Amino acid sequence: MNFTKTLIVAAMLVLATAGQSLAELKVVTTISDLARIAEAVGGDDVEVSTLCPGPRDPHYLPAKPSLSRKLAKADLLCYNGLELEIGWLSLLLDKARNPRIKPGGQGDMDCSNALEHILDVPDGNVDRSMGDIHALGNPHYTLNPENAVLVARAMSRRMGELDPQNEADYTERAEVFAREVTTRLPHWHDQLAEARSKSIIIYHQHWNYFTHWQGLNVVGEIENRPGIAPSPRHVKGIIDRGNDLDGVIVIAAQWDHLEVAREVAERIGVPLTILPGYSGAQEGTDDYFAFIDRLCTRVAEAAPPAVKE
Amino acid sequence: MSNNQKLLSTAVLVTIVLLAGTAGAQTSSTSTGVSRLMNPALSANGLFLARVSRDDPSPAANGIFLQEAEIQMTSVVDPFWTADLIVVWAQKEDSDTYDTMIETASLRNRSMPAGLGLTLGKFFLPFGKHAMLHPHQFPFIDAPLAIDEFIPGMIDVGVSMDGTLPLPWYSELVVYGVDGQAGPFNRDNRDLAFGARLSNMWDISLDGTLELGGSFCSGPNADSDLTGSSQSNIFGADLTYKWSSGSLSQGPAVNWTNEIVIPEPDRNATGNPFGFYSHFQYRFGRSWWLGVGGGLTRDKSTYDGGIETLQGWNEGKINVAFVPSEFSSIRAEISYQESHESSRNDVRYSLQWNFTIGSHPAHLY
Ligand SMILES: [Zn+2]
Repeated sequence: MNFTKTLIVAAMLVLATAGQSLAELKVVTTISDLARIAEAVGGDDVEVSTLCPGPRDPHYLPAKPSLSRKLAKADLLCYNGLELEIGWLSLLLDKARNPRIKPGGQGDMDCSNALEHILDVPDGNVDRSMGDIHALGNPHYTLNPENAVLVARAMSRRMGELDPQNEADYTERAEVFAREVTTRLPHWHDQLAEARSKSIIIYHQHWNYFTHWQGLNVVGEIENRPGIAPSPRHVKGIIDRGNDLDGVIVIAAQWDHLEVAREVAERIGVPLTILPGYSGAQEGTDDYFAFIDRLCTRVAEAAPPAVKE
Repeated sequence: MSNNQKLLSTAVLVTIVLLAGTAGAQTSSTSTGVSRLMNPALSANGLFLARVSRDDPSPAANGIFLQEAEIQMTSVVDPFWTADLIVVWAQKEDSDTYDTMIETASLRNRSMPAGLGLTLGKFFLPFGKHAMLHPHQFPFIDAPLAIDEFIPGMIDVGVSMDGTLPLPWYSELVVYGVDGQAGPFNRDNRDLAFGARLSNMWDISLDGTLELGGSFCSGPNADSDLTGSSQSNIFGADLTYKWSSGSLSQGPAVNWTNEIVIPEPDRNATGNPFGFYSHFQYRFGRSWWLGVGGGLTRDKSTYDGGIETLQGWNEGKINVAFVPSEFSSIRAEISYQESHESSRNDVRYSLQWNFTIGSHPAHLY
């Protein structure tokens, strides 16, 4: 009897270690939103880490070689694409020396390929007099949860290719994620009913997918040339515009140069609405749904019902 | 116009239109079609300098100059290689003519068995931090004395291999063997030169990193009578601290670099030559950087009777840079140099500006 027990325990131990050596798929994402989606899709079958911490603006992540250590071990790299990571990802990939995730490798995944519509694709001529523009279109698509669903499904397909044993689980979890989004959509939509009648001034084009998804009316951008401090004349123009309108909401990300955004809000006479740029950028937004919740709640709070006179 | 004439002119017009259409199609299928997608990523850079000297009346130290113009190309060659080409037109010292230099022309392997990188061609030799920078990336307008004196022009032709060491932190080793044309070596006595660099990096906080590097190179020298061997060795060590605000985009940032270069002393030297510099840069506004730097060298000089003593140079500099975008910058700098002979002390007031056009530059780390 004791012998049998010992045998069972030994067998369990062997299985446990074997299970561990059947390594989980190592997924590295560039931004936190993609990490949250990868975790939802990958569940226990993957180990997810992200290069850019939630509170940091991914346009300007320092290409620390220590980050390439994460990439060196990755089986799958999920990046945002549309040139969001143009300043640093190629340097990190060089240092990582990992052929699995290099361009063309099986673990190289540009998540923007999953999108159906890309916003703000420049039509006609572009040059840098417009600032350091995103020449392939607006890359901040994860701010629309419907895009997150497309990305989740694309991730499940890629994870399934890399780890065929768990393919069905990846597909299933992507659908769970999709259902969760579908369930929450009506609430998010209702929350912003009042805000849809307001005029929104944004700091950077970061919010375009969110405002487009929610049907919000954007009337101006404070930083009209990406990456370049706005000129006093442009700022004055935005303030004048805001003062001509009723019910203005001014939105900025927590990493933006808030002194300018504050000045605009103050001189229009409305509070500044500071939103997390991505999941985890503000406390309590680590979860992707909590992040979208926060965006909707904050904007809704900034749009009190019009008082009837 | 007769019906026949109308028919003829219509036919001619249709033919012309059709021909034009074919010509257009042919053009787009060759020079402007898909082949253009295979063009290398291209960028160009211009670097200008206006300078006056307090003590040096020479034209080289006073005036407005195009210091250099540079063209960079980079592309995947085929499934096996990536190539870089950097051509520079740099102003010759004491002259208004320009030298064409190929700073980099190299192939790098794309697939890396065991994570090993291989570079073939002409490239910057990895020694310390400053020797690998292009002039438009220098933290101050002039290279530190330590670099100018002991390891100038660290560009050579040969082979280099690099890999990371299996340590709990980021540790990269580069070793190279080259032709012996680089600045510190003797070109008349050309012979194989070789060297290595080990750099280690630690994240000491969420936003701060520390890098500790060690470098070594060995190459042919000019005077084996003095040194006791036809090869000379140079050693270097560097320590860099970098920090940038993780909560504010394009916010405050610090770069602090310290480097020491130690050439092997001559046989009959009376002391050890060395050079050192420390550069501190601080981003104090979205478009503004402040730089403070200092350095010194102690180098051999032959005096009466062939007895060597060390002569010293010290330097100090301060600059303010306006960087409105990643593609242009303007900076004002005051620099001071002092020598063991006070007659050669100098103060320089400089203004330098620089542009980059073309493909987006990666942010160097
Ligand atoms: Zn952006």
